[in-house]
Amino acid sequence: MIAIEYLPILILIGLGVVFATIFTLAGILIGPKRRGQNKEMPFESGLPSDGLVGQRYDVKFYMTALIFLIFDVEIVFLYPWAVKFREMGWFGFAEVLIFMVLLLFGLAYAWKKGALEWE
Amino acid sequence: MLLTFYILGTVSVLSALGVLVCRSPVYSAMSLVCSFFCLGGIYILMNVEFVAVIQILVYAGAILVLFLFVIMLLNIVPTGESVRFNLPVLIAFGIAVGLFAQISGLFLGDIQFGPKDVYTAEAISEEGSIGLIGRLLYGEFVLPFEAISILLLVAVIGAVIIGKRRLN
Amino acid sequence: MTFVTISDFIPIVPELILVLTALLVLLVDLVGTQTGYKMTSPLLAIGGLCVAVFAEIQLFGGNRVGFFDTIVADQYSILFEIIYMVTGIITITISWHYIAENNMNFREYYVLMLFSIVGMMLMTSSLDLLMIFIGLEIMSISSYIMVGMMRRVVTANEAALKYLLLGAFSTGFLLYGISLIYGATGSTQLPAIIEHLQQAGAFENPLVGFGLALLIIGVGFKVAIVPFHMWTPDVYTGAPTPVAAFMSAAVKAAGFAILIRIFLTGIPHAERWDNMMWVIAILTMTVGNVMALRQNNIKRMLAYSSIAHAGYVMVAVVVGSEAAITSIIYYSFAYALMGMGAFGVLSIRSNGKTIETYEDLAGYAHAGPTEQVAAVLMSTFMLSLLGLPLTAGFIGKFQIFYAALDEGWFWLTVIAAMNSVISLFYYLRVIVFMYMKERIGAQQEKESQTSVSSLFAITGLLATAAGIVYLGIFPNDFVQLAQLSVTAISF
Repeated sequence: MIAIEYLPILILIGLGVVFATIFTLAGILIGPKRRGQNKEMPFESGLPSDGLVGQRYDVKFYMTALIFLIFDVEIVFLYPWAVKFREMGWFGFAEVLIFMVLLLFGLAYAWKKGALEWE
Repeated sequence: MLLTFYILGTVSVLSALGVLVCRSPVYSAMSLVCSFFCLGGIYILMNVEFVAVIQILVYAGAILVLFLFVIMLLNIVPTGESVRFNLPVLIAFGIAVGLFAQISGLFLGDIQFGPKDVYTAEAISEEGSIGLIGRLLYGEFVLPFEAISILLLVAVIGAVIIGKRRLN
Repeated sequence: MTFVTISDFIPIVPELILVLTALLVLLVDLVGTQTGYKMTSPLLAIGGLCVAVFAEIQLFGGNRVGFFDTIVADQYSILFEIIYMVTGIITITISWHYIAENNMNFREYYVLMLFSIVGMMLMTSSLDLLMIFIGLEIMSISSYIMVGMMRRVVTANEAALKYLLLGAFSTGFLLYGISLIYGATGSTQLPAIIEHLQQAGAFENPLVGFGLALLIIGVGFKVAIVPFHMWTPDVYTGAPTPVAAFMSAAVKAAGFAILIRIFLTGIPHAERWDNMMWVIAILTMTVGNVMALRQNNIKRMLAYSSIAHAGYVMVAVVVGSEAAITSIIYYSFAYALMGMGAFGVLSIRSNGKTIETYEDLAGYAHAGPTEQVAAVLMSTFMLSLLGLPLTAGFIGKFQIFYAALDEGWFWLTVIAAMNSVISLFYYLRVIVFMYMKERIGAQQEKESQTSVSSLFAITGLLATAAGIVYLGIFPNDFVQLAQLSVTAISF
């Protein structure tokens, strides 16, 4: 049965949940509680708090993420080839090469248009 | 096995519901992650590990990051207002419920599945789902595979041309 | 493992030519200098399209198949593919001046248009639902981007967003439908699916009915039939005018091409939900025409009129006989020409002003030499859209009505004819405004300038009008081709 092979993952997930619960609860239950103005402030890596959390992000984050996603999907399509490439020989290589070249055009385009630069 | 499916299915449907009812869009996105993980588990139950891994890597990983960027880009602050039930919303709600009832009724009816061909769960686990997908993707479905590269190229061009601030 | 051979690629040679052309245009964009070479991209694109049309003609009659029988170059797909490519050529002629004047002079425009045509071609010549889906996506995503290319214009952004969101929804429906059909029949290939559906009792399976209904919704969005038409007016109005022309002509033709492939080539007539379909046909015609009557913006009027024309084609889809399919092919081509022509005239500025409402058209015919020619062309397109004899629009409508009467759809034909009468008012209104109204504020006009680029557009539009008149006077050649292609798809 396939499920047996995934038992370790299930155990890992279970352990993760158990430990997270224990430590969170322990912090709440046995930790000392001293309140003060500084302690009530949101934690921002030691820096003083700076404005509200809802700040508009620049669209360039989104564009970078989208370009990442597109090439991520490309990798997904290459993955089965890595498993089967001995069987498929040069023909499979040619197929994947065409796929890659078309996407290389995409990379060259994004590069030339400056989409990879942080302006 | 069946029990696992029901647990995963229930959590997945509940978290999908959470996407709709959460007021903060960030919470909605997080519910979606939970739903995607459960779907990944269901794919594993169906012996298609490759699809499961992709589900988690691409959907729960990359696409969700994209969703979060959009939420931060639009800067949607939860207003605290609940959904107002005016007439158009009620009509849409009625139609949606009616449609759902009808579809559920359909699927409770006499469903016949087509021939499974050679791709049974046993055959998949024998060859391995990645190997099988590879054999089909680079063999029988090579043209759709190459066409997808055109699709991705168009997507790159679109992302740059719409999103780039100064286009030279 | 099974591999493809060189002969598999012969049926998709035209597609390959277009992909290479698109990559070449992209390369020119990447290595070319920023100024100059403004003509290179459109001319390259037109050249590639012409070569591909030539290759397509060479394939005609060969009935070649490839890629494990999932790609066919039969007369049917070849005819439709030529329609897309001719549409593409005309679009480029009316785009060149427009994109320069409207600050969207990106060479990517031509790349996206070529890829969009490649998507349509792959989808038309494929017998595999998976490939049809990917082709449809290539087409749709390219057109979403083209709609949103005027990046600083708010209405264009709104149009692009609406089109993207609703298009993505409809794609979801389509994909869900495909997966249900696959579940019910165990195949994504149309011949196997249709063989399965021809068995007795196949439609008692809820998966089949629901799957096909979702497919109709998915394709219905693309061809904008009521009630899936809501996006059309906003998108066509907000989009760059040449893109609206391209969408109303080529994208719709592609949608009808796969609608015929899926629904009219083997699904038993009794199972085609005639009751639902004729209601859709009547609604589409009537909503389109009545709403077009109420518009003051001409692009909006043309958008609703394109919905109305989809309704006439839906009449032929309901009828579903061989004559009806012939008329669909003829009408797709005829509408492609006249719809594109009408949008094309609107894309030409008059005295530096974009024509938006009927008032902007007042006195158009007397404004200058360019406008005089454009007014004659616009009148031709309007009369053809109206369905006046000696134009392609007349022959197209005549064929649809004849096919419908032949199969006993009397009342449907009567309603379609009544709708044609309604359309008389708004098409003639354009001509009345152009020729019989006085121009407002005529004294403060500049010298009317005729630029080289708008001459390019006028040339393209002249060819379009000539095509309409030719198809209207000598329809037999094209009708015979259409009949040939109908016999090519299996019944």
